[in-house]
Amino acid sequence: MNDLQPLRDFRSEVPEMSDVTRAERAFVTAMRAATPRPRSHRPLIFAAGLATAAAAVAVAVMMTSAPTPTPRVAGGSPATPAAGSSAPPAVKIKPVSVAELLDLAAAAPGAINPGPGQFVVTESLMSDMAELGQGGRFLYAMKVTTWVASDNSKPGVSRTEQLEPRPYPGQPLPADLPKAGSVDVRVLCPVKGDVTRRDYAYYGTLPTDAQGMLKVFARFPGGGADKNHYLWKAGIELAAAPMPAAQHAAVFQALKLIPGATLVGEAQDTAGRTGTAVGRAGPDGWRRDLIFDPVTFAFLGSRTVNETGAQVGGTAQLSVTVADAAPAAQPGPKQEGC
Amino acid sequence: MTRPTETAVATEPVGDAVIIARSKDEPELFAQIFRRHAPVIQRYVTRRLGPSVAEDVCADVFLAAFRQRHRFAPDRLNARLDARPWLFGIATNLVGRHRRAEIRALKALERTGVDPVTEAFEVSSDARLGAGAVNRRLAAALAALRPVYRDALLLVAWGDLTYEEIAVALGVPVGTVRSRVNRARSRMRAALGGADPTSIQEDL
Repeated sequence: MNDLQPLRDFRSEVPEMSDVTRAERAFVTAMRAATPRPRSHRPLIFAAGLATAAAAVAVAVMMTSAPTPTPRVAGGSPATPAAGSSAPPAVKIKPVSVAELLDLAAAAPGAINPGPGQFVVTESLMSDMAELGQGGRFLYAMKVTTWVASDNSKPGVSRTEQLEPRPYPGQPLPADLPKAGSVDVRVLCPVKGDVTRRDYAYYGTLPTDAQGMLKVFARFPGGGADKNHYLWKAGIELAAAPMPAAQHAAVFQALKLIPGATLVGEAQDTAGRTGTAVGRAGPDGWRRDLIFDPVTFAFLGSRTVNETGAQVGGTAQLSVTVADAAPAAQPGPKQEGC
Repeated sequence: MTRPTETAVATEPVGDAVIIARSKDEPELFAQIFRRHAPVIQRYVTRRLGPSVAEDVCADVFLAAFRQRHRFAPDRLNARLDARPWLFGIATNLVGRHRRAEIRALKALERTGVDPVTEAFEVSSDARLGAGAVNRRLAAALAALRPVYRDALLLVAWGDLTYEEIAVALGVPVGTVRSRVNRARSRMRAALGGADPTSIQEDL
């Protein structure tokens, strides 16, 4: 099909819809205008029986009603769609099972499509436990921005900014903490050998089915006695990795195969955004959650919760974009040139 | 230790057909179908008609689909059935209502080298320069195709549908799709200068 390539490239700069949530709200307004008001507040249990394949997917969805319902015109459908005054909130689906939440995450929009030689720019927040001497526990926080060549073809850059440290739950903040505000910029050399590659093109070579992706989790660095625990942690890392939509969906489908996960409900990521989460407790009693946007089910970040329910670490994915160039950076003091 | 491969959790995503079937009783679930497919459908419509009308046409596609949801695959209880071909079929019909505008834009590109459809989108100037001549010839060739050929060809090239999916989308037999795409491709090859001219003469 090579003769089709020029045609495939023609007008390929047209991007996918950027704001699906906004478009969906407009669509829901028009849909409501086109239909009698649905009965809400009523959990709809729908399962086996529709079709043989559906029978395997025990599905139950609860519609949450819109906090500000669209004004209704007496007598049924309004002649014109509810005028643009206040767009109704997007339809919220409240997942009722781990499998359903991960399905919704797998179908969430937002994949990027970098060309060869372009950079994938990932902006994220990270927070984790650190210790300064005896009993000097605290939570450090940083903002990390990385520019990674989509095909591992040239050096990238990582920029790390230290943010204000926070107290470890139940403990005072130790004295003499490193100052917030310091910025460290480093060169990321292209990776030699597939095992350690972390670029978009490499991720594009991973399997797109759940079982295949689970094997990728199993090859992840780490390990430990509880296999499912490290599979889950590997899945959390890969959920944050920029990759084509098919592989990203497979990550969530593979997470479904790991036993022991539970719905957590509302949770905040490290950026303070509220999402809906699914988590799994490890042998240490700490639970690792994946947090998703409550409307689009796009991956927001992850968090670790200790045995008392306090958050002791987490990440927040702020943005994933594509750029033609990375900022200038010098190799670190102990780093040789690439 | 429990082997993860032995868990009984279903691994297939909730299929479009399941959501559409459920939306007959709970209409707002249809928003999920919009969320899943609108980005792809809107990009397709934008590539054909340009951004100014694409948003409205795309919304109309999903509203039409919503109104016709009772007719989605009533005879095939395949829960994993993908709604994409069906949606592309509706999109093709609605794009057809703007045929004159579509042709006008293609001819403008052929004439001036500026594409009214993509003007608003960023692309590196290198790519624009390099593809200029090719795009002008592509635009001329697309504009000259019979509409049914253009529909079939663009569902392959831009919609990424298989011949079987296009047959579902357009409601014609697979053989018809194959012959439309083949004819369209030979015209396009000729337009780009790589072809055997006899095959073109024959169906002019």
